[in-house]
This record gives sequence, C-alpha cells and structure tokens, in this order.
Amino acid sequence: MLLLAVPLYLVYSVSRIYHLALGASGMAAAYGLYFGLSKGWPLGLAIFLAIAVAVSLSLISYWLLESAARKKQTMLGLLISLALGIVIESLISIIFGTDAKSLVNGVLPIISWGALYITIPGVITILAGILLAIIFVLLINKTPWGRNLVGIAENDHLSASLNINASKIRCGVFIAAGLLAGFIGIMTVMNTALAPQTGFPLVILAFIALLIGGITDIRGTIIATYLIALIPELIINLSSSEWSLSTNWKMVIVFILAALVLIWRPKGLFISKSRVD
Amino acid sequence: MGYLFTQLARYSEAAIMSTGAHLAVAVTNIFFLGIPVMSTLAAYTLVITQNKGIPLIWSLFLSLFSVLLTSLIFVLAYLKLSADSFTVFTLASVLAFDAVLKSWDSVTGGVLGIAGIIRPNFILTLSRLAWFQFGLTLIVLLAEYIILKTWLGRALLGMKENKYIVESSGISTKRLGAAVIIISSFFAALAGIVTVWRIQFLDPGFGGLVLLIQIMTIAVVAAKPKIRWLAISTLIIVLLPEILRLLNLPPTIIGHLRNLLYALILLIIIRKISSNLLPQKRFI
Repeated sequence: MLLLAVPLYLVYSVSRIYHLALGASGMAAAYGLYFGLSKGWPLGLAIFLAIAVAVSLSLISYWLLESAARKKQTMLGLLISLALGIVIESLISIIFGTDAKSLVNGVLPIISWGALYITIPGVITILAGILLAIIFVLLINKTPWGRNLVGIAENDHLSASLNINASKIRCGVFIAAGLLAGFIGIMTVMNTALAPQTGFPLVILAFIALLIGGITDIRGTIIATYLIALIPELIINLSSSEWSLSTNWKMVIVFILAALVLIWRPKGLFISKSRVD
Repeated sequence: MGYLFTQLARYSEAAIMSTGAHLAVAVTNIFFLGIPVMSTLAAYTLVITQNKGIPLIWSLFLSLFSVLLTSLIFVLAYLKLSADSFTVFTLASVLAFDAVLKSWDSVTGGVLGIAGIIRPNFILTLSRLAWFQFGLTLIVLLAEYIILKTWLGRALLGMKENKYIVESSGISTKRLGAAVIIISSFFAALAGIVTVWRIQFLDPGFGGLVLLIQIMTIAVVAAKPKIRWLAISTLIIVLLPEILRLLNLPPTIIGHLRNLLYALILLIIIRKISSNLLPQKRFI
C-alpha cells in the first residue's frame, strides 16, 4: 500500500488529480509478466513486457489526463481516471478471465524470525516500501527536482515563467508512477494471487492513506499508510473468538477509521497550518 | 413480450437511479459516488425486514429511513471534506459496503445472497411491475423537472457556476449540497427497491462499481441540466449493450464487454463535452 501511495502522491503533486487507474495499471503490468512467463519466455523478456505495458498505460493516462491537469479540472480528471481503470480491468477480464492466477508455482520461500513468518517477496516489498519512501521524501524535500514538482502543483504559470516545462515533468512523473505501480502490482500478486479486480481496492486504500496523512505532505502519507495497514490487522487479530472478524472486514474498519479521522481533521492528520491568500 | 417488459423495467430503474446522479453531477457538480450504496442498502433493508415478518409498508419505511440516516453521514462528509476528497470517500464507501455485505453473512446471506424475494400483490406479474416502474419513473422525472424550475433548481445551477455568488444571495450552499445528497439517495433507494422486486434475488453484486459506472455514464452523457437529455441518455446507455447479444459471444465476457463499453463512452464523452459538465468560464 505504501508503495502505491507514493506514486499516487507523485501524480497528485504535479496534477492535483486522484489517479484511480494506477491500481489497474499495476495489475496490467503484473498480467504482462504472467503472460510472458506462461508462454515460456525468458524472465528478462517477460519483465520487459511488464515494463512496456506499464509505460504504455502511463503514456495513455498522461494523454488522457494532461488536459484536465492543465485546466485544473481535477474532478473530471478523477472521472477520466476511474473510467480508464474500468477499461483496463475489463480488458484484462476479457483477455485472461476473472479466475485467480499465480505468478509463482509451489510454496513461496519463507524467512522465520521468532514467531514471525514472512515470505521473501513480502520482505522485498517491505524493504522496497521503506527505501522508496525515504528516497522520495529526500527527493521532494531536498532537491531542485522536488521543488519543481511542488512549484508546478502550486502555480504552473509561475513555474513556466521560470522556464520549467510542466507538461514534460508531468509526463515523466506519470511514467515513473506507472513503473512503480507495475512493481507493486507484481510484488502484491507474488504474495497473493493475480486477479483483475485486485488493483482497485488497493488503490482506494492508498488514497485513504493519502487523505488521512494529509495529501500535500509525503511524510504524513507514509505514517498514515502504516497506521491504516496495522490498525485493522490489530483489531482483526485481537477480536475475541465470540466476535471474531475475518480479514474481509479490513476495508470496513479502514473506512470507519477514515471517516472518524477525516471528520475530526478534514485536511488530514499531519497537515501543517498555512497562510491562505 | 416478456423481453420488452424487462427492457422497460430496466430503463425505468436506470432512469430513477440516474435522476439522483444527474441532479448531483450534471446540475450541481457534486460528484457523489455513493449512489449504489444507497440503492443496495434500501434493497437489503427491505428484504431483510420483510423476511423477519414485518409488513411491507413498515419495511418500506425502514428501508427509506436507513437510507436517510446513511445519507446524513455523507452529508457530514460533504460539509467537512474538499470536493475531490469527498468523491474518493464516497467511492471508498462502495467498497466498504460491499465488504459488509460479503462478511456479515448471518444477516445479508454473504456472497450467496438472499433468494426467493416475493413481489407485492399489486405487481405480481412482470407487465404490471414494468408499468408500475414506468409510472414511478415519470413521477421522479417530473419531480426533478419541478426542482429545476423552482428557486431550488436555479440555486443549484448557480452553485455549479459560482457558489460564492449564491452565498452572497443569502442562500446556504452547504444546505443545498446536503439537500442534493439526500434527494439523490432517496431516488437511489426507490430504484433499489423496484429493482429487487424485478430480479427477486439479492447478492453483493447487486450494486457496486458496475452499477456506479452505468449511472455515472448516464449522468455524464446527459451533461446538460435538462430532463429530456437524461431520458434520452438513459435510453441509449440501457439499450446499447443489447447490441452485444447479437454478437453471439460467450456469456462470461458479455458483462465485461458491457463495462468496457460504458467506460469507453464515459471517456469519450468527458473528453468531448467536458465544457458542458463544468462551470462555464467567461472571459470579459
């Protein structure tokens, strides 16, 4: 979820658009890899296909959303992205079917640490999530590139007057976000199963993390992601046998949590007060 | 003849539900995506209370009351959140409600759903049900027409254009937005109730994203705040997937093709007529 929250944050920071199709794009990349592997292609070629799918969908997303981003039509951008997500999911369902598929045959290798058991792809996902979070916090807060991103989000006319090409940067961010979404799609389905509808709940959870954390601050997003990943798991695992909750309740718990937090702090938990013009 | 009555009923259900979406999206520019939740909640409350032996009239009342209470939660979210956060919040509610329906199987029947739902005596046959639904559709469309022709409709259209001007006229835009959410929820609840009477079966697939994409497509295709546009766009969107029947495709992919078709229409229409959907920018 953290991995997906980072690209969502990136796209939002340059376009002010909630890019809902990112989850479906990630799943499409994972299906690209699955297609290559199931046809007996070498791993490198299958990965290349997955990357090609991710980049192509990023470019399509950019082409569809650029006009809305430039005109600051954020709600239309959200609707376009939702429709694009449905198009991708429907195409995957038509081509590959809706039954769950597995990228890895057999039992996944496990690392044990005391009472904790975790799969190798799980460890990679956690480490990649932490690493990417640190990298992007530093990139956005400490580099000229990050300041450009913030500048475009705040005032792209002013950024243009400083010779910053907003469209080019947005295109680059869409491609980076698509590649990250593809990576998380592949890592997610290595731990679970590959199904067309996997991406949408994941992207909604990541958006809730963005809203809870305060959408303009990546540090808040990272903390909120861990909060909404851990709190439902704790509630589910600590529920008594009489009132035991299945993992299906996770989405409900997250939603209630989000509703309570957002009613209390509508702009997110970690947003700092700023001057309003 | 049965096929025609089924299509008439489907048209009526879509029109009633889309009237709420049209009022919210095309008239007021509030992207309230929780409409499938309201429709499914109303249907489930009606069926569960009837199965407990509660008379129809009280079940209907409880059904609409539960929708009213839930719509107040959305109103609270609308008052507190920014427009795009509210949209994502309402979208998340669709998934959360779906999880409730699947998980709380002692009440909702879980993924297996509830079968054998009995229609009320006055609409036992499909033809009677279809004509009843069509009559209800005319009433709902007339209600929206009246709303649009009164001060409320003008205020809603004004809110879409510039809410600060509406505020300066002494009208509370918060109350207007709240009214739109409650009215949309009420229409969605009506549609949910009449739909469950037709299909006589309920499961978590009753609402969800599939229904959402259909009604949003109708609302966006209608674009202009006019009843005739809504009626025509509902007709097009409901009947268009019927072409797929002629292609003799396997039934497993027809549903996905229909979703693909709706989403593509939505994409094309948004790209082509986005100016009609958004407040008009005037340069002086």
